[in-house]
Amino acid sequence: MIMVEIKEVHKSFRDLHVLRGISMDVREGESVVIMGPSGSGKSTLLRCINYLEPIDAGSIRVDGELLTPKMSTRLAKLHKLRERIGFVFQRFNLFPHLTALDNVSLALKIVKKIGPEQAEEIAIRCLEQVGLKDKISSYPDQLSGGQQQRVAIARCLAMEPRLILLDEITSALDPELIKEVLEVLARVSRSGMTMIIITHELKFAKESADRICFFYNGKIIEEGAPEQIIESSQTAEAKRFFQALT
Amino acid sequence: MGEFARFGFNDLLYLVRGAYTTIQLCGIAFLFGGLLGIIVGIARSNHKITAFRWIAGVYIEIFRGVPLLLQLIIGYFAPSVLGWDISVFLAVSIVLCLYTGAYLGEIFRSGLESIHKEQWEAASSLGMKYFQSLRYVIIPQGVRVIIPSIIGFLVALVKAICLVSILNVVDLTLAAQRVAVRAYVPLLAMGSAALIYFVICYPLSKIGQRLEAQSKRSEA
Repeated sequence: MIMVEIKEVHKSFRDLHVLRGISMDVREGESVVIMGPSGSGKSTLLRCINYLEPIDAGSIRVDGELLTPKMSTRLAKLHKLRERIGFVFQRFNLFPHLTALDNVSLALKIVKKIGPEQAEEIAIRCLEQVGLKDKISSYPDQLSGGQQQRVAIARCLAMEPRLILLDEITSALDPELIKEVLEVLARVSRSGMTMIIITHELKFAKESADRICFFYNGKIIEEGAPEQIIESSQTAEAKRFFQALT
Repeated sequence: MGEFARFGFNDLLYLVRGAYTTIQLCGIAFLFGGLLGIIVGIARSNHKITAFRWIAGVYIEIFRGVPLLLQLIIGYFAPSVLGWDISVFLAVSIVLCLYTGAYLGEIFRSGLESIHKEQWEAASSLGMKYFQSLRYVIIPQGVRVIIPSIIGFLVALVKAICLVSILNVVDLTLAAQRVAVRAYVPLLAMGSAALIYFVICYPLSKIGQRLEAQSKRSEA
C-alpha cells in the first residue's frame, strides 16, 4: 500500500521557488531518507506533507487523504490527519511548561480523548521505549538535548502514528548525544513504522534506510538504494555532497 | 496637632467605605475588562482573520489614546443623552471595563506573540485544534511572560480610579476630600487615604514579584 503519494508539488515563499516539481511515493513500512544540501527544499517538503505549509501546485495524498493547493492549514480533516502523522522537529519543540510525562500524554488526553490514567500508562510505556523511564517528571530544561529529542520521539510514538516525519532531528545535538537518538530511531524503523527522515548521518542512512532521495535545488535528482546513491552517485552535485560528508 | 482631635471614628469609617468603592470598581474592571481583554488579545494576535485584528486594533487605540478622565466624563453624560436610565456607578464601571479591556488586550497579545511559532506547530502536528493549542500550550506559557505587566497595570488602575471622584462617585479620594473639608483635617484625611492606597497597592506588587520569581524558578 502507498502511504504517501507526492505528485509534481511546487511551493514558493515570495520570490523563492523552493519546491520545483517534487514527485515521490512512500510505501507502508518503508523508511525513506531525504538528503541534500541546505536550502534544497527538504524541510519544506516535510512540512507540506502534514500541511503545516500549504502547497502551491500539485497534490499530496497521505494515508488516503488528498491535500490540494491553497487549502487552509486549519481544516478539520487536517487535524484528523495530523493525529495520524508524527512530526519530530530539529529543535525538539517540547512544551517547556510541562514535564516529560505531560508532554507525551497531553495530546492523548485532549486529542485522542483517552482517560488520564490510561494516557499516563501509555506515556510511561513510550518513555520507557526511548530509555527515559527515570525522567518522567523532569521538565524539558532539566534534560539534555538528546534526552529532549527522545521525549519528542516518545510524544510522537504515543499517538500511534501511521507515518513519522523527522526533520534533521540530530542536527541540533552535540556529537556524543547523536548516537542515543539514532539508536532509538533505528529501533522504530525496524518495528515496521513508515518514516520519512531528513538527516546528514550517512551511517544511519546506510543501515536503516530502504531508499534515499537526493534533493538539489527543489528537485529530486537521484533516488535509489542507500549504497548505490552514497557510493556511486550519478550526478556531479550528489558526488560533491557525499564527498564533503565523508 | 488639633487635627487628631477633630478626626473621629465616623470619618475613618467613611474613608474605609470609599476604599471599598475603589476596590469594587477595580475588581469589576479587572474581571470583566480581563475577559474582554482575552477576547481582544486573541483577536489581535490572529493572523488568519484580518477583520478581527483590525477591529480589535481600532478599539485598543481608541481607549488607550483618549484620557481616562475624558472617557469617564463621556460615559457619565452619554446614557442620559441617549435616554438610558443607568446609575453613575454602572456608567463608570462600564467605562473602566472598556479601558481595562484595551490595556489588558494589548498585554495578552504581547504574551501570545511572545510564544514561538514552533510551539504552535508542535501542537498542531499532534492534531490539536486552534483553541486546544491556545488553552493547553500557548496560554500557560504566555501567562508567565505577562504577569509583571498585568500587576503593573493593576496598580496603576487602583490609582487611576480616583478620577471617578470628579463625577461624584465616592471613592477613596473623594471620601478623603469630603472628610478633609467637613472636619477640617486636610493633612490627616489625605494622609490616611495615601496610606490606604499604599496598603492596597504594595501587596499587589509583592504578589507580582513572587509570581515572577516563581515562574523564573520553574524555567531555570
